Amino acid sequence: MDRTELRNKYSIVGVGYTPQGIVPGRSAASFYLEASMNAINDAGLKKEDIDGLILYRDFPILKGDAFHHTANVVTYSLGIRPKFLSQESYCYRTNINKAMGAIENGTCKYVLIVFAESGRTGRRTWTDEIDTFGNQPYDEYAAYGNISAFTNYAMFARRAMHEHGTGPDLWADIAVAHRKWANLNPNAIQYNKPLTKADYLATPFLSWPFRALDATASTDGGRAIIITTTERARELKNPPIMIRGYGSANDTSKGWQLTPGDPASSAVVAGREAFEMAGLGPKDIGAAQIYDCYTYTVEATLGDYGFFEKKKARDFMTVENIGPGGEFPVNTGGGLLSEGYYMGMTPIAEAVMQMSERCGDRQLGVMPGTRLPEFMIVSDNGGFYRSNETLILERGK
Amino acid sequence: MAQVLKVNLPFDLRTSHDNDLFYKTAHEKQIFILPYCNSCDQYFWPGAFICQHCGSTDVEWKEASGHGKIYSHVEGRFPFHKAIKEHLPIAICSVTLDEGPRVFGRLVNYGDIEKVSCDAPVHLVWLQDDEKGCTIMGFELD
Ligand SMILES: [Zn+2]
Repeated sequence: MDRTELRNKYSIVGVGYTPQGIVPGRSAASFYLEASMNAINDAGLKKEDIDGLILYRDFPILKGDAFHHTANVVTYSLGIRPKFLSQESYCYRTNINKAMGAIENGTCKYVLIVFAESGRTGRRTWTDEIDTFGNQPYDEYAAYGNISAFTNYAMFARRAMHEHGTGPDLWADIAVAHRKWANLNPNAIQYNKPLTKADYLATPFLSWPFRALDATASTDGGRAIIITTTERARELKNPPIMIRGYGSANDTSKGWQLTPGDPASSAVVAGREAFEMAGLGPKDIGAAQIYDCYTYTVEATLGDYGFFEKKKARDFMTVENIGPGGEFPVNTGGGLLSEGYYMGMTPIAEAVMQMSERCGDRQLGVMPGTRLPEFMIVSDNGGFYRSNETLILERGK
Repeated sequence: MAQVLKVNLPFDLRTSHDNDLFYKTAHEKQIFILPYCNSCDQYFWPGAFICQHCGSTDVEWKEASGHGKIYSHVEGRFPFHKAIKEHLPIAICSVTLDEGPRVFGRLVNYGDIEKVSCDAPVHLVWLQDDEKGCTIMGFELD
């Protein structure tokens, strides 16, 4: 099958937000439900229209609930009976793939994708797993002292310092650019908290060469989107945000075996597939929403997509270029780093909001010195950069 | 044979079917073994039922040198879990062994982490915890 036949066949038609940041007293389940209903309302659909439901990686969503049956909690409480129901057990990024596949094969018409957590005031950390099993960690690495995703990503980034000449000076600019975007986004957790490069450099290393400001922080809240065919989308109230290009890929290494510059990384392969399906290249893309669990992830992904030569990342990844008013806007809502951690829903939702011109003070094309992009690239990655879905979005007429 | 350093590890070692023999051999005999494929004559890591290069099931554990080069390294300074607090700072590395595979280890006796360079030659030392009854891989600069 020629994948270009699928170009712009599918669209994102609704986005669901919830209160976010520090929202005590609520379960992750409540955010799953609220985000889902808000996406349904935003699209102008009824909940009964949702015949596919896809959830990101499962974490126990109700206090004391160790039985990972989130998908059933959500469908029961929403009162829906989807024909297609799926929840990842781990961090693989296959959600868009499954959504389009379930529609393409005739099973579904409207597929809702959602992630939520109460990670700020509830639970959800890697080290919780160690506590859950007493002094019995879940793999061999804890004995070595490797108990956080932070460490594995720091190893990836440290090797990139050696290979490509990157490091804290560049990552500081990524953190600052994201914060500047967040300062324009009232929904962002860091909305009222400006950050300078000096502030960044004055904080301690948590795991050298990474500081706390290199990482996203856990959040309360949830976020959802709805995918359908562009044909059906034209009957709905929002402008269809069309999926012009799509790619997915997975790398089989361990998290600590990540190889910066790997010519077959999941981002390289997924990006290439998305560009090929879209019939576009990096020069056609006006802005990017990149999965930014860590600062270096943004650099790695854009480099893997071919926006710059990896050894020249320093010239591209400046606050002036990727921040507000820059030539190539990146993560215009503040990203996972400064807006909020909703896995791939953070970049995808922001892309849809920008393309449908609903972004207020940070709206591209309205902010002085900016243009509304014709095409936007979006990444979602998981499993320590080993799993990637790439989207190239186009605004439908 | 690699030197043995007595240590207190932050957590118990949890092994699996695929690496149990490796850690048992390390603890009881202090011998460094790697999974090896008789079909394509290559080492691989971690251990598995089949060779990751060619898919053959003709695999065995074979003694290896314990010499290699640092691929990457970090130094943990923050207690992501309360049990690790007293062990900080704790340096972790990945090492590309002379035999080919990249393995995971603790970096020990390294001085200033910011002065340790990628690709620096290292050799294996065993880190043995008598109380927890286990032994893990450490690496020391040559
Ligand atoms: Zn083989």
